[in-house]
Amino acid sequence: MSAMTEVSYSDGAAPSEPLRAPRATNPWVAFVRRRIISVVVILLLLATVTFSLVRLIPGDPGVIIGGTASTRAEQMAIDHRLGVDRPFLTQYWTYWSNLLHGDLGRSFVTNDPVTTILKQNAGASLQVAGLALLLVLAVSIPGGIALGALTRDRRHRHVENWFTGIASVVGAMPELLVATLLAYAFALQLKVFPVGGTGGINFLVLPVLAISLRPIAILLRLVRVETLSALATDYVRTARSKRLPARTLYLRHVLPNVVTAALTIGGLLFADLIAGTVIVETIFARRGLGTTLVNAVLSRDYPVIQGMVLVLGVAVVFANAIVDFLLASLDPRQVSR
Amino acid sequence: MSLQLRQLSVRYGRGRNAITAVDHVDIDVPKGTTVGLVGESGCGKSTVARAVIGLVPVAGGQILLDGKDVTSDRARNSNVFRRSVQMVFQDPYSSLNPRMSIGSALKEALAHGRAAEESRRTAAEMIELVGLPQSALKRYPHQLSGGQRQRVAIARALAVGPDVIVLDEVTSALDVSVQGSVLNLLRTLQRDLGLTYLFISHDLSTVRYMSDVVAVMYLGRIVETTPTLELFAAPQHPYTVGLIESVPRLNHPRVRAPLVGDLPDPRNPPPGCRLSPRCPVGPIHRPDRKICTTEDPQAITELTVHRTACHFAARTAQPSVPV
Amino acid sequence: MIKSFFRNANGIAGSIGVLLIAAVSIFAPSIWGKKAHTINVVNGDKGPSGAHWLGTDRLGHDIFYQLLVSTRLTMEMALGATGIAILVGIPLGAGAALLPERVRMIALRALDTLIAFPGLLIAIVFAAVLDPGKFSAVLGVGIGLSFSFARVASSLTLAIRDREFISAARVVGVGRTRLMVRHVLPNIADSLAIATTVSIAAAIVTMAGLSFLGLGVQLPSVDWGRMLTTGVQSFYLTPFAALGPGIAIALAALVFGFFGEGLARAANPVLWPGSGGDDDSATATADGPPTVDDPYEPVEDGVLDVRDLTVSFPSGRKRRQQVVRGVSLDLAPGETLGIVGESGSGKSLTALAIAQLVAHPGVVEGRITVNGTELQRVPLKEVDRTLGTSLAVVFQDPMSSLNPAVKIRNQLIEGVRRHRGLSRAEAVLAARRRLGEVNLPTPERQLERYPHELSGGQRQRVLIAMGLMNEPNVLIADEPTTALDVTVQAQIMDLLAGINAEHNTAVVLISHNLGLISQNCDRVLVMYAGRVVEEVAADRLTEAEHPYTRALLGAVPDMAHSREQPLVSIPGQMPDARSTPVGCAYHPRCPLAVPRCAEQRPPLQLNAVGHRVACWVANSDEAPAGAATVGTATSGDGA
Repeated sequence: MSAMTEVSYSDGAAPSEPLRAPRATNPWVAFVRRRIISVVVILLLLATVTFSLVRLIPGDPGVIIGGTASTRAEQMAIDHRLGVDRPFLTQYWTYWSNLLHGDLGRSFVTNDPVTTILKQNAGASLQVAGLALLLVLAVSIPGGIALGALTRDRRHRHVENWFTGIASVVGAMPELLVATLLAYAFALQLKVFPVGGTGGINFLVLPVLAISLRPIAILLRLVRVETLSALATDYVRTARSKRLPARTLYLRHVLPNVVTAALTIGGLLFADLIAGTVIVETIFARRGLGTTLVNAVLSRDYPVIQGMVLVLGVAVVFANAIVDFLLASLDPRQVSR
Repeated sequence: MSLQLRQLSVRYGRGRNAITAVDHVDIDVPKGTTVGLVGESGCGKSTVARAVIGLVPVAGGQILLDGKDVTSDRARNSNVFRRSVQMVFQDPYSSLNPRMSIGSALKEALAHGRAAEESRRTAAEMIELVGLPQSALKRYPHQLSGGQRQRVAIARALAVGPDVIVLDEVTSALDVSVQGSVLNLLRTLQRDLGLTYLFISHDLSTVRYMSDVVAVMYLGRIVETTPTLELFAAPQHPYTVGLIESVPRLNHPRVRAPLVGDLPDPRNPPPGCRLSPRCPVGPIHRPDRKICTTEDPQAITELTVHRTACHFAARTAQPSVPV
Repeated sequence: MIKSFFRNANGIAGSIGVLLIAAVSIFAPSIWGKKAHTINVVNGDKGPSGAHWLGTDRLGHDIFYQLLVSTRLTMEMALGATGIAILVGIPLGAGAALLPERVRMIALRALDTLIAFPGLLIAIVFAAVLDPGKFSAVLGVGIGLSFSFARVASSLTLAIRDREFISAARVVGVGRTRLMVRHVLPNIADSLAIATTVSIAAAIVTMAGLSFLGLGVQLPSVDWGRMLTTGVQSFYLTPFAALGPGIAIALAALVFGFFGEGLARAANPVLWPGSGGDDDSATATADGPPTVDDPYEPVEDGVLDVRDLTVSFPSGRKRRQQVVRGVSLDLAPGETLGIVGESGSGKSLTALAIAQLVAHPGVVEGRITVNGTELQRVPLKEVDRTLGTSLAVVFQDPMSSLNPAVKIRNQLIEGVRRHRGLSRAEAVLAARRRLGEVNLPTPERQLERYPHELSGGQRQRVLIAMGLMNEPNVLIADEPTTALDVTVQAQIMDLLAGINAEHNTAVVLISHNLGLISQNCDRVLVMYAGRVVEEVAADRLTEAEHPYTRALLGAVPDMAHSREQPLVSIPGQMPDARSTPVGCAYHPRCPLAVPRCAEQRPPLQLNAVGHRVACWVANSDEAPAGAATVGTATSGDGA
C-alpha cells in the first residue's frame, strides 16, 4: 500500500477503483468453481436417491416384484439380483463401483444390459425433446418480442386481450389432448403426417408440435411481459435518447435482457418437454425413453427404472448448468453473484 | 433520557467480505437535546441507528440509556427499552405496512392491554398531535402523500411514549415544500414533550438547522464532534471542511469540488487516516505528510466537547477559494 | 376487500367457476351416481344424443354424467397433491432462506435444480416405488409440486425479511406472532394464492397424464384423466368422449388460474376500487377566461427554442389531462438554464418532451426548435439526426440508466457510429478521449468494463461522456446528482461547468435543489403544476417574487437559515393533473391569494429585465409589502 502515497491527482479526477483490493481471482473462476460444486453435490444426491429407490419399496422387494404366486426361491433370487440381501454399506459401495464402471445392471424382463436399452432409446427421445426446445425458443423469443413491441405503452389493447386469452387457454391444455387433436386433424382428416411410429422427419412433426404448444404459449406470454419491462427501463430510455434505429434498440438493448429471463424459465420448460415426450411417445406409438420407462414401471423392471431416473436426472442437471453458463455470459452481473 | 454510545462497533459479514460498518463510535445525546449525525451514503450512520434500536447486533462497545447499560440484544428488544427509545425511518412508504390501515398501525404501537375504546381514543390523539385529520385513521398508506405518511410514522413512534427518538433521514424522501413542515413538527414536539433526538441525515443544512451538537461520520468512524454553530463557523477536520464546502448554497459562488474520488471500499479501508487518499491537505497534495498513511489519527482524539480525528486538524481551517 | 374481489372480471369468472366445481364435486355423486355407473354395452361408443349429451364410452357409460361424478375424485386428488406440496414446500423453502449465507446459496441452487425435475417423472418414480394408484399419484405429484412452492416461499422470505415495515413494526414492539399474522402473511398472501391455484391447475393436468400412462387412478375408480385416456382410445369413433374430459381439464385449469389472480388482487389494498388516493371532486380542470403570457422574444441563433409545449395523457374516456401546460423556453449557445420544481411539477416531463421521449399514450404539442430545425416540420429521419447530434440527455439515476448487459465501449460508440458514420476504430478512439475528458482514469480499461463494475459517480461520468460523444449543442441534465453524495455532486458540477466553458455547450439543469440551481445556472425557470410560474436570473433567485418560489426558499433550511426561526410550512400539496384548480394553480395553498386568483389564471408577465412572474398579487402595485412576509430565507444570519 506504500504506492498509494505516490499517486497524485492533479485535478478533480477520481482515482481508479479507490483503494479497492485487487481481486484475488478472476470472477469467472470463482463462478465456475461454485457451479461445479453445486452440480457435483446434486449429482451425488441424485445417485443416492436412485440407489434408495429399490430400498424404499415397502416390504420385501422379492415378494412384491415376484408376486404372491412366486416361490420363496424365486423371491430370494430377485432379492439377490437387486442386491438387497447384502449389508447396507456393501450395497452402497457396490452400487457406486458399478456406476463408475458404467454398469447399470440388467433388465429383469429382457435381460439386456440397462446401458444398451438406454442407448437404443435415448436418441429418439432426445430428438423429439431437442427439436421441441429449439422450436419453443425459436417461436417464443422473436414472437414475444414482436408482441411486446406491438403492445408497448398500452398500444393495440385488442391484440393484447386476444393474445392473453388464447395463450391462457393453450397453456392450460394437457399434451394428451393436444396430441390427440393434432393426430385427428393432420393424420386422420388431412392425412398430411403419419399417425404414429418411428421414421423420418414426417414422423417427428406431430409429436414435436404436441409437446411444444403449451410451453410456447407460456414462454410467449413471459417474453412479451419481459419485453415490456425492458422497454420501460431507464437504460432503454437512455438508448432511445441516442436516436438509434429500432433494430439496434431491440437487438442490443432489449434482446439480451429478455433472453436472460426466457432462459431462466427455459430450464423449467425443458423439464416440461421431457415429461411431454413420455406422453406423446405413448400416443404416437414411438419408441423412446418415455415408453421404456412406463413399461418398466408397469412390469416392475427396477434396474431399468433406476437407469432411466439416473439418466433423465443427469440430463436435467446438465441442462440447468448449461442455462446457468449462458445466463452468466449474457448478464455479467450473474458471474459475481 | 440521555443516550450514550461508547466505542460502539458493528460488523457485517464474515471472512474476506467482513465490513466494520461502525468502528468505535462515541456519541453523547444529553436529555432534551438533538445530536446530528451526518455523513455520506455508506458511512455507517444508518447502521448506528439500527444498532441503537436493536435491529442489528453490536460487535463491541456500549449503549447507555440514562447511564444504564442496554447493550445486550435482550435489553434492546425488551418492552421497557421499546417504550423509551423509538425510531422513524427514512422512507415512510416502505416503513408503513401497505396492507394495514393507519388506525391499525397506530393502535398496534400502543401498549398492550388497553381497552379498545381507550386505544381508539389514543390513536385519535396521536394523529391530531402530528397535525392530521381524524379521517386519516381509516386510510391506507398509498392514499396519503409522502409528507402525511411521514407524519403517520412519527405518530406511530410517539404512540409508544418514548423519551428518545432516532430519526433516520426523515426528510430525504420528501418533497421540498413539505420538508419544512415536518422539521417544524419535530421541533415543536421536542419542545412540548421534552424529547431527545438522534438526528441522522446526509443533508448538512438540515442537520445544522436541527441539531445542538453535530457528529461527522466517515467510513464507519466519527471524525469530528462539535457544537453546531462552532462546527459550521470553524470546521477542524478536512472532511468536515470538504463536506460543508460541497453543499450548494444560495448567494454564494460555486466552489471547486474540495474532495476528490469516491468513498473507498469499506471492506478494505485505507491504512492510517481513512480520508488520506481523498484529503485536500493530506499526502496527495503534501507528500511530506507521510504520517497520514501510517498512523491512525483516531488514536489521538480525546473525549472532549470538540474533538477531531486528524493529524493536521488545526492547520486545515482555510477559506474556500471561489472558482 | 371482498368488494374488490368481485369488481374484477377474473375474480368473478374464477369464483363462479370454483363454486360450480365445488358444488358439482359435493353433490354430483349422490345425485347422478347411478346414471353414471349404469353399464349398457349395446349402447357403447355412441356419439352425442338427446339422451347422452356427450355420448357413451365403450361400456355404454354416459360420459356427461360420468364427468360430473368423477369431478369429486379429480378435485380431491388435485387438492390433496397441492396440500402436500404446501406442507412440504413452504417449510422447506422458508427453512432454506433462513440458513446461514454460504449454506443457503447451495440449498437454493439445489432447489432450483429440483424444480427443473419434471413433476410427471417424480410421480412416475413414486408409482414405481409404491403401488401405482391414487395414493402414489397424490404423493408423487404433491412432492413434484412442492419444490416450486419451496422456491416461492424462499424468495418471499428473503424479500420480506428486508422490508422496512417489518423492522418498523419490531421497533414499536410488535411480537413475533402478530408480526407473522398481520405483517408478513398479508404481504405474501397474493403470491401464495397464485402459487396455490397454479399448483392445483398443474396437479389436474399432471394427474391426467399419470392416468393416461396407467400409473394414476386404477379402475374401477374414474377421474377426468382416466376418462380422457378411455376417450383418446376411441377418439376416432366418438371424439366427444375425449373432448369432454379434455375440455373439463383445460377449463378447470383456467378457472383456478383466474381465481388465483382474483384473490391476489383482493389481498392488495392498492388495487381496491375507489382508493385512488385523491378525490377528484374538489376542483375542475378548466382554466378561467383566457390570459396571454407576455410575448417571448426569441434569442438570435438560439440552440433551443420551445413554444407552448404541452404534454397530455388520456384520462377516462375521450378526455385528456395536461401535465405540462404551455411551457415556453429558449436557450442561447453556452447558456445554462435551470428548471426548478417539485415532483409533479412537470419539469422532467418537459425535458422528455423536448428530447421526444414521451411514450404513448402521452401526446406532445407545441413547437420545438433544436439548432434551427423545427422538429414538427421535418421528416422523422431528420428528427433523429438533429436530436442524435445536437442534443443529449443525462438522466437522474446513473445506476439504472446504463444497460447492465452491454459493455461501456459499445454503449458509448453506438450513437456516434450511427449519426456521424465513424468507423469502429475511430469511434473507440473518440470514446477514449471523452472518458478522459470526464476525468475517468485509465479510459482504455473502463471501455472494456460493464456498468456494475463502476461506482455511482463513475457511471454518471460515463453517461455524461456518452452525451458528449456527438458534441451536442444542448445537454439536458435531469437531476444528474440527486442519486449521488454531496462530495461527488460537487465533482459532477465541476465537470458540467468545465464542459460548458470548454465546448460552449448549452446546459439545461433540472433539479429540486435551489442552491444547486442558483450556483450553477445563468437563468432559472420555476415550475408548478405544469407551468412556468417565474423566470429569474440565477443570482437574483433570493429576490424571487412568486409566493411559491418564496415559500420554497423558506421551506428547506439552507446553510444561512436562522436556527431559531421556524421553516415555511406550505399547507396542502401540489395538485395532480386531474384536479388542477381553476385560476392560479397555487391559490389554494397561497397565503396571499385574492379572489381573482381563484377565477383567472395569472399570465407570465415581464416585470423587470429578465424577470417574469405569473402572479396577480406580485404583479399588482401593492405586492411588495405582502410578498416580503412570505419568505424568511433572504436574511441570512451568517453562520
